[in-house]
Amino acid sequence: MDIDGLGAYGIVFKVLVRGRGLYTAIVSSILMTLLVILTYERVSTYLLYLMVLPTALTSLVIDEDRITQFFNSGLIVGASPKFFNNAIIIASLIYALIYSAPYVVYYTLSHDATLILFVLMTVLLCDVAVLKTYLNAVKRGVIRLVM
Amino acid sequence: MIYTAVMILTYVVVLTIVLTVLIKSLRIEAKLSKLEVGIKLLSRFSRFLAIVKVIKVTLMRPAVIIAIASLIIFTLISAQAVTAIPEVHNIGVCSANSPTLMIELSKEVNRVFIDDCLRKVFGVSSDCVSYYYIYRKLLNEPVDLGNLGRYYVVIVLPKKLLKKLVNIHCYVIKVCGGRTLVKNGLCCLSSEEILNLKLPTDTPLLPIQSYIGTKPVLPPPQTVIIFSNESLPKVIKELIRNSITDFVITIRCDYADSETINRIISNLLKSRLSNLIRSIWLCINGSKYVISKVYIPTLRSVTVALLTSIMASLMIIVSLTSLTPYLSKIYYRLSLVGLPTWTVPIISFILTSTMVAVVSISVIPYIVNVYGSVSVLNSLITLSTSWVTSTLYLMNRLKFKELRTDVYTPVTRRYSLLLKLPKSSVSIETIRDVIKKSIVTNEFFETEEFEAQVTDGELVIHSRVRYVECWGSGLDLNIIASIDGGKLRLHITSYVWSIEEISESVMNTMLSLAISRIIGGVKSWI
Repeated sequence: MDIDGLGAYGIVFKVLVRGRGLYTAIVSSILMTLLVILTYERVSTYLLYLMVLPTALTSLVIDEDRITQFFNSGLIVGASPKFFNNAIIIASLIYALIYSAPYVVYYTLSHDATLILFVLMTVLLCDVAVLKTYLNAVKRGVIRLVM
Repeated sequence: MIYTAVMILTYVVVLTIVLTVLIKSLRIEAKLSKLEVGIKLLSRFSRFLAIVKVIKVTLMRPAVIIAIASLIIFTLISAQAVTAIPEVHNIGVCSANSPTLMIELSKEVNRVFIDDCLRKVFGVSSDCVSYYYIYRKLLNEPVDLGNLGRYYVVIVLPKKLLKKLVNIHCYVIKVCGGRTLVKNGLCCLSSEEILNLKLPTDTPLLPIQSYIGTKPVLPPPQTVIIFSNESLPKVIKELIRNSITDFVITIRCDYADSETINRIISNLLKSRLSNLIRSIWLCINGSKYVISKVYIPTLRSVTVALLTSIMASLMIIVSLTSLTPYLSKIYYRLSLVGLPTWTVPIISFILTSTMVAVVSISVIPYIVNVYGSVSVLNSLITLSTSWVTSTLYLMNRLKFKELRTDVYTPVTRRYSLLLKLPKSSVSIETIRDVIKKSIVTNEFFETEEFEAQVTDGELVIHSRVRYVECWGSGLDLNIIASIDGGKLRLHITSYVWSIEEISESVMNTMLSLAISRIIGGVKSWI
């Protein structure tokens, strides 16, 4: 199988599905949806928006070992930087979509779609930044190993 | 009642945990009392130092910082979710013809925000509703208005309302002797007249400072200046910056009965304005009422508190889960140099307590100031639940399962096994087939020879296998099996060979791989 081929992206899904982060994200998203419904117009929109930040980061932190292992294996078998970039974007996008679900409910209540866009962008950027940090750390480790 | 029960239960649980840990540590410390004082103090200090260092390095981890951030956010959400319940008092008569409401805000609020909120409160039925926005402010430093003088109290009213109050078209009103109309729209009123100016809800126009009995205390009229909003000096415009402190709502709808008014008040208290409203004055059917907010824990607010508790607990548990391998590694290393196992729950307890304490110290004073003391109770539910859950989880996760450590067990070259057969009718040929299959299908070895012979109910097998992972190495296996009284006796003797010198670890690996497969094969078949 080609390392950078379409089939290789299946590994990204496999890593996500086998980790605990995805399930944490789904459970958090459900609880956040309930919270948004119950606190609509009672709690500041900023707080409702801010709660997505630590929650999104937690999903990645819990799977840190698995993700770094995936990057490590990828680097050893010679996967291209493009593959890693695409894998990071795919994973971040999946998390961003999961975490924007509560804000879709918020949109149905307030008819204000800005929060959904903000959440999508925030989760996407945060996750990409964290995953890139993990990748760079693994790269440094592999370079040390080779040298 | 449920709320009190939850708080008492939380208190009891926390107290029990603290006392258990304390008694445990005291008991263990008591055992050390026979040691010399110097040694005892030194050991205690080193233990204390180890605990502090572990907590310090753990608190610096990103996972802990994320957990603290999420706890802060969910505590604030919990505090904001406390619902206000209106409390109504009849305070006399009122002369307003139409139902009129005056809403006093607790601070200056931008009128665009008020517009937006009121649009949502009244919705489509806003045609017969009119609003007046008022700005009343008691300043700490007097505002200098040049020729007009220096004033401590600034009031800005809409043109219509001002004309209704004084029956003259004025831009500015101040105390300057008798009632005279001066040029450029400046109206002069006497002190009594200014003190007697009333809003449509029959409340004084001047901001009430306090009460002596039921009599309101108003600022001295000489320090007050009243403006119409149509022509404001630049200084005042900069001072108010499009904000208001009160607003009057007059409802002229035919259907504006008590029920409609109740609905409007209820909607106001549920809206985003809720936290900004200090009190509501209502004039209806010739009676005057004052409605103040009472914050009590409602079912909805308690549900939100519980939901935020679950969310915060989940976030902390997830963060702590990612920390567990790191902490376990530290504990293991420290245990090798003599740190007692009872320090593990103490470290877990202090770690989670520090996290919750950091959040409490930073957030609780803010909540008391901004949302009031009742909101603190809601936040405390979130904080205490998260604390109990995370402490129990971390203690359970990090406790040592057993005290023994793995030691090296040399691999045996001879192995004897006695197994009870399920059926007495099992033949020795079946056992031969099972053993043959275990040897031939072993992916680590290539079978070079396999000989089996059954003599007088006794099975003798000789096999030579070559290890595929290593060149020129293998094993000779001699197996003797017999069935006696429904029991299988199995004796395995092995001899590892190699054409060149190989390490003991490789030999042991080969032995383990070969013998374990045969024993496993026979056991699983039985």
